[in-house]
Amino acid sequence: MSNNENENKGRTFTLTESKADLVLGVFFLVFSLVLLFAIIPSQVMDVGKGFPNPRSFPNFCGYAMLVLSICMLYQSYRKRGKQGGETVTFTSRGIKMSLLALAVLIVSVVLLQFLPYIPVTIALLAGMMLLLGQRNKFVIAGVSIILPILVYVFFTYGLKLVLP
Amino acid sequence: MLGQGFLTILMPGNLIYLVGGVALGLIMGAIPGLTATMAIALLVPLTLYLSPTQAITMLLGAFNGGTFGGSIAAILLATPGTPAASATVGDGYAMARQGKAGKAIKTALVSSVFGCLTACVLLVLIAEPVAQYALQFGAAEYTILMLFALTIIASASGDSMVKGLMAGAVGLLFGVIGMDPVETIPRLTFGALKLSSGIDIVTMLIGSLALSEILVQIESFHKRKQGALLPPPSCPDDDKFTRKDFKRTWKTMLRSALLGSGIGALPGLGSSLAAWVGYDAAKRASKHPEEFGKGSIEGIAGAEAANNAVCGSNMIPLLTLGIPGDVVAALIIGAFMLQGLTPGPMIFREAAQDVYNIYAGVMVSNIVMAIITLLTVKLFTKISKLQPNVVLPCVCMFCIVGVYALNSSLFDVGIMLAFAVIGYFLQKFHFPPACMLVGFILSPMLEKYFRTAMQMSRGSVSIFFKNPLDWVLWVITAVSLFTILRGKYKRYKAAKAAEKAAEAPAE
Repeated sequence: MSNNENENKGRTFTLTESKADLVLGVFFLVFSLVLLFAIIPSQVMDVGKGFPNPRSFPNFCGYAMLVLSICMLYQSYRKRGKQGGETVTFTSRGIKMSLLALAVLIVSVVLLQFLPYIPVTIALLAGMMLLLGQRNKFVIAGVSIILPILVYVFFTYGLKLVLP
Repeated sequence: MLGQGFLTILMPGNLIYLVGGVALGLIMGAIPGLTATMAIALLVPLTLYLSPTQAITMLLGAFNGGTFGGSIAAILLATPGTPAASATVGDGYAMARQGKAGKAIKTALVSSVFGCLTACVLLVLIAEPVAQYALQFGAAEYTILMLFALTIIASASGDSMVKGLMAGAVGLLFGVIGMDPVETIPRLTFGALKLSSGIDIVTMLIGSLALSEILVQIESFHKRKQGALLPPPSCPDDDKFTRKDFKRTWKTMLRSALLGSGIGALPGLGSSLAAWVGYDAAKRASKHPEEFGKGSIEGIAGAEAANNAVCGSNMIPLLTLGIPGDVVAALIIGAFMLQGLTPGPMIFREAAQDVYNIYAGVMVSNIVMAIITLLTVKLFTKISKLQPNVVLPCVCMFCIVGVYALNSSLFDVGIMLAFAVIGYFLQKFHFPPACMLVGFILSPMLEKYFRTAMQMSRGSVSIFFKNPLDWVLWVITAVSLFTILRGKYKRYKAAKAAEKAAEAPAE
């Protein structure tokens, strides 16, 4: 990985194609082993030795992932040291923005369990617009108040669907 | 009788219900999370007060409009409004980002109308023999058909077959979650009762395609100057579906329409699968397959012609055999029964004129859909002029509300957010999302038919080789796999040759 300081973007992390395949290969190798030897035996009841049985298809998926993860690790080995190819880039600021947006969504969903739809959605829209850089108060107020009310009326009275 | 059917449909009292059905279907299809199925479910109780012609044509208009409407959100917002529009997202949104949103929507419209009309012609001319062909498909034949459909995963995997197959395996695994189809025991539900019925495809689509795309866009927000969501068209032709576009796509539309009609005539498959099969067929037959996923007009034409063809051909098993092919057809059977009609072979004797009125209604619904869309397309494309920091939060809100409305469950919304994170990483690490979606769609069907066939044959695989039809399907599957692998091998050799040529001067 290479770390570059950049005042506008924060730190940038770049994975070469070989490194990305290595990370993915290891991840899926571990995941498929956990799936085959821990998750499936505990989450799928054993109803007998016949084929096919409830475990057959999940096991097929697990073994397919295992084989493919080994292929990925082999690809990573073959590509090591080679230039070009697809890179995977993350910037610290970008990740922070995405995490904040996701956090706003998660908090909204949690609040919908306790509060009604309209106030939560007003807060969601206003919060997301501010996060994404909208600073016009009229646009923020207008969109975040009018749209949830319109949607509420359409769903409740038009479609007869109950919102939280 | 068909002529009389058209005259009946064009009477104002019948036409108004058809137009209302199409309009409602378009609106609900365009809003992520609200599907054509939901539109029909809401309209069925209203049909009690209507005549058979008014009732059924309104429902079919809603189905047709909803199936097409999903492509509008797919093109403008990278959010498939309905599962059937998932195959349109890649090329549709790419075209929109090139300033060709108007062209993309009009291509989808023309293809949808073409597809549905083709299926309607088949419905009128050869419904009976097609229905008899559908009857020959048993569990074994469906299994082989699913295996053929799995080759789409390899075809859609792009440059990295391993990543595509991995995404497909992940999709197959997600499709397993829920109750075992034969033993009825929970699998991979981790004790969550709400997962017993599996993961809803709409929840997964919206999370892994729409919300993940929003997260990726937010990540790169600070890097770009704030402007409109989508660029404006660079020339007038970018807003039109020209004669040149039609010349380029008519064969694709016809091929996909026939494929979609065949798939729609088989109970249990649906418009989502038809869209992907149509898209895949278009890619393989195209002179420029490398453009697919980057804004290919043929990609949109292939997917949309196939998925709307299902709207017409869905009626084949319904009317001729009384077998509902999917949830929509089951709802329509309910509407038939409310009218005192029983779909099946006898309906052609007991209510022949009503049947021809329905045929005419489906055909006219395409014209109505085209008129409504052309009148409102400018309104839709105005969305592209809005700022992303206003549009993206609104799309997030619609995603949450739409998914909640499916089952009135915040748990589904939580699953959607989980898929948003999964889809985000898939995109960042260059996994093709299409492969995961196809795997997810096929997983329950493949397992159900395979295990049913094995039960019928008491564990013997000879059931998959008994009929001539089985051999035909195996040959088609083998040819499909061979052409994909040959194409990949050719591209690999070309890439190797280019690498050697680049290294040679350095030596």
